[in-house]
Amino acid sequence: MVKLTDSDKKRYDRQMMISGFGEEGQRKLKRSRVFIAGAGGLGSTSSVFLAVAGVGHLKIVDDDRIELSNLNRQILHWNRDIGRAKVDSTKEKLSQINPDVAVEVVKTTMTESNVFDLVEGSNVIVDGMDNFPTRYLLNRVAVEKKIPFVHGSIYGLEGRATTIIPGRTACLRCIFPESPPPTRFPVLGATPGVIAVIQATEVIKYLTGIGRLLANRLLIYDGESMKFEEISVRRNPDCPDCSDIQKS
Amino acid sequence: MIKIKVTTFSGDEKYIEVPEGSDYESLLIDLGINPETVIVYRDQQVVPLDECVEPGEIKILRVVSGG
Repeated sequence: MVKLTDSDKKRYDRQMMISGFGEEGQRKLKRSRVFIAGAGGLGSTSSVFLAVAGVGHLKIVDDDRIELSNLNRQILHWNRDIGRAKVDSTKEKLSQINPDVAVEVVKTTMTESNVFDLVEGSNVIVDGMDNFPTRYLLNRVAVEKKIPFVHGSIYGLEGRATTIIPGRTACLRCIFPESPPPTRFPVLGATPGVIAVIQATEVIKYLTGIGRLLANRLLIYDGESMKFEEISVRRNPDCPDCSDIQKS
Repeated sequence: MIKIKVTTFSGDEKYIEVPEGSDYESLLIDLGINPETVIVYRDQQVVPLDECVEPGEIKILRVVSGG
């Protein structure tokens, strides 16, 4: 059984005060493994909040290097990091933010041939991708391995988030059947910040069992009008990605 | 003809009429919107694009892919 140290009890005191969280919730986080796909705008922010919350093991996968144009939003990467692999910068910063969290990084492109191995053993998958083909790949793996998948996406001052529980909720393909054409998207740095913090909250709620998840609910953030809206989503009985699991 | 109120992601509202039996995909194409780039919802529920248009109000939401 995972035990909390005296240092843990001090560090996480304020969140253990949350109703339903307690020391048991903290122990659940400490023994959890979270897979973060991408160390960009969404991944760098969600990973910070998962690290400070005390998730025991974070695995971050990204194949990219840091460019100047990333720095308006990818808050883990700084001016001095330009040219470094994003995963190296991520590991260095997260380990300093919370040395008690095990941070594993892999610099690779996620493909059909490696993604099943990469997510093996994870309790949750966090979507920090910037394209739908890779999101669909993660969605399929999440569905097949029955691993919850916390989706986030952004554009300009807009964002979306939902939590997919395979077998129980609509999957990503049920909600977004078609991949939009690839685009060089505009983005204000605060937008992935908003969505990634929501994703981190969902992960922590799922792992600790507190609150009500964004299950079968698509949250829509409109930063321009500063409003949130949610719409109900349903499983598609003919979904090419999850209809088999629905029937099983 | 079926009369329907459409609100787009930019907040524009318009009333349009479509022939009975039209589906949401053809409605989007008539509006000059690529169906791959949006989802349509009504009464806070996503509607399949191959479903027939019903009178009332729909909203069109851009699918965003950035991260």
